[in-house]
Amino acid sequence: MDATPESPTGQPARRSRRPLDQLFGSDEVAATKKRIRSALGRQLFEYVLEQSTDRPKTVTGRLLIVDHDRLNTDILARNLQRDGFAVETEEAGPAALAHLGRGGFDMILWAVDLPTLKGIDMLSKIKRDPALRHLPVVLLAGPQDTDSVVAGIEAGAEDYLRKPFNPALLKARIRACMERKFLRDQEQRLLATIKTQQQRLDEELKEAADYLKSLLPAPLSEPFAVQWCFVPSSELGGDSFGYHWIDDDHFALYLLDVCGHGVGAALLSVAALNVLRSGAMQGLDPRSPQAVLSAMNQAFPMEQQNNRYFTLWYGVYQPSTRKLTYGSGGHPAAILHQPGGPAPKKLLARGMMIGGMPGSRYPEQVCEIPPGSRLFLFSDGAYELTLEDGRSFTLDEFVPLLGTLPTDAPVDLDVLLTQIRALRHGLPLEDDLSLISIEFK
Amino acid sequence: MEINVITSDATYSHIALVGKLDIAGVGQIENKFLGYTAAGKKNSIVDLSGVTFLGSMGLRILLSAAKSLKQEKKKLILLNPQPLVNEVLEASGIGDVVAIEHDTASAVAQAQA
Repeated sequence: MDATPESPTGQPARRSRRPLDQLFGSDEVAATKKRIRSALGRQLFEYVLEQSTDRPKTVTGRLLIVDHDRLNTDILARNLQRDGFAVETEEAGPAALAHLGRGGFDMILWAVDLPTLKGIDMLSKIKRDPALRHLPVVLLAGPQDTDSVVAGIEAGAEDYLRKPFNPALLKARIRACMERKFLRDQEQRLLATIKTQQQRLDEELKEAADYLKSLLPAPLSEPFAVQWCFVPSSELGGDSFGYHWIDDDHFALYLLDVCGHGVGAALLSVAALNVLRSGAMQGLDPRSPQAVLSAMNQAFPMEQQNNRYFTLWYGVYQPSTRKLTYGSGGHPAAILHQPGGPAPKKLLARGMMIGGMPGSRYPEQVCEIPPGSRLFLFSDGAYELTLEDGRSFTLDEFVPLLGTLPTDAPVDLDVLLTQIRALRHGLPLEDDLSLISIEFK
Repeated sequence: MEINVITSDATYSHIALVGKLDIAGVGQIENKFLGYTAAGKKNSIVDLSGVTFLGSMGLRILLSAAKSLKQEKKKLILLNPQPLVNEVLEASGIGDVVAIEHDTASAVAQAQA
């Protein structure tokens, strides 16, 4: 900042002080100013106090006064009782702690006992006790007890009052203290409610996620190896998939991805998956991808699914003919790696997202599966990644990655997942990721 | 994510989207986008040349707008998508409901028709 005389750097103030300093000496000037300031402060405080004590006295509560001076205690107690506080009294020492243990107090007025500082000792005990530590403690100090007040504040006392008390000041301080305590209590209750609800939600989400996972099929090793990995981007994902034998010669394989992710997406995903798993569509041939996709499109129009649609890749493999028939509702291509090095094949079929448009057609494709081929079916979360430089990773870059898996060993999807994660440089994945591999014999 | 209005007259509206149409991007512009397209009930051109990414939620608002307009017998025309975005559009099958144009003059001619 530019240190011109007009700037708020303190320069003008220093300049105007100089003539006074020269006349009276700087210490004297400073002391006088301090006196004026503190007198002004006191007047202001007393004015505010007057105003505030005129308010309706709504804040009351239960107090414990701990003091060995019975007379003082009784006067104080009567005074506060007249103002609506419930007051109990107790001798200092272990009896006071026991009394507090009965509970229900809102604050403590604690006399500090010089020179033993026994009160301070008790105060530390209160502040270490989880059941009592939230209770505000106001120290009652003698006129000269500066050291004990300092020690008391350090030990956790909220405030202090010097004897003899100004009644108005005493009540104002007690009220302020209690108001703070009530607010804290309210906060604690809210926090506890939030914690309980969060815990319940977490448990329910976990249960839902476990349910979704329980619907996913077990890996297969015969007659060909089928494996998968599934990484939802939040507790619940919108991806789901499955495979099963329709009959001895037809193996169905499918993966669906509901737009968006989270609970809303997962619910639709589970509903659609259950239909596909059970093949429960009346009069429908589950061996025909075209028929399955059309029926799903008819069953799940987005207008009836909270405006959500999903993409679905559905294929049926027939071992007797080595033919894979497949169709897709807006889903990215599956990738076929063939032995001997021809370029990987994109198994892409045209078709509108499922639920997108009534009456959409889903023409199916047929592909020959040479022995030793590997098929990879995945959701777009596997490759739609934002790279460190902000650029988006693409399907065309992802396909060669699939080719880097060693061909002389079984597919290890963990290796692939590690490579995908490495592209994110330690950041979490942005979308649900599902990936299925089949190693045809 | 931004929306720039190029033309909005009685016959058609022409807007340009700029940024990433992912979940966050869609959240920023969804209402405004549907306001300029679906709610306008007139032919709408959406310039996608500034869109670097089109995710499933992005497709969703394009499809929603296209379907609303189709009910009013109006067109949604997507203009100049970048190659990656074009690939997503093609794979999605959305081409059945929207026109994908690569020439501004012919897009405007279609919208004014």
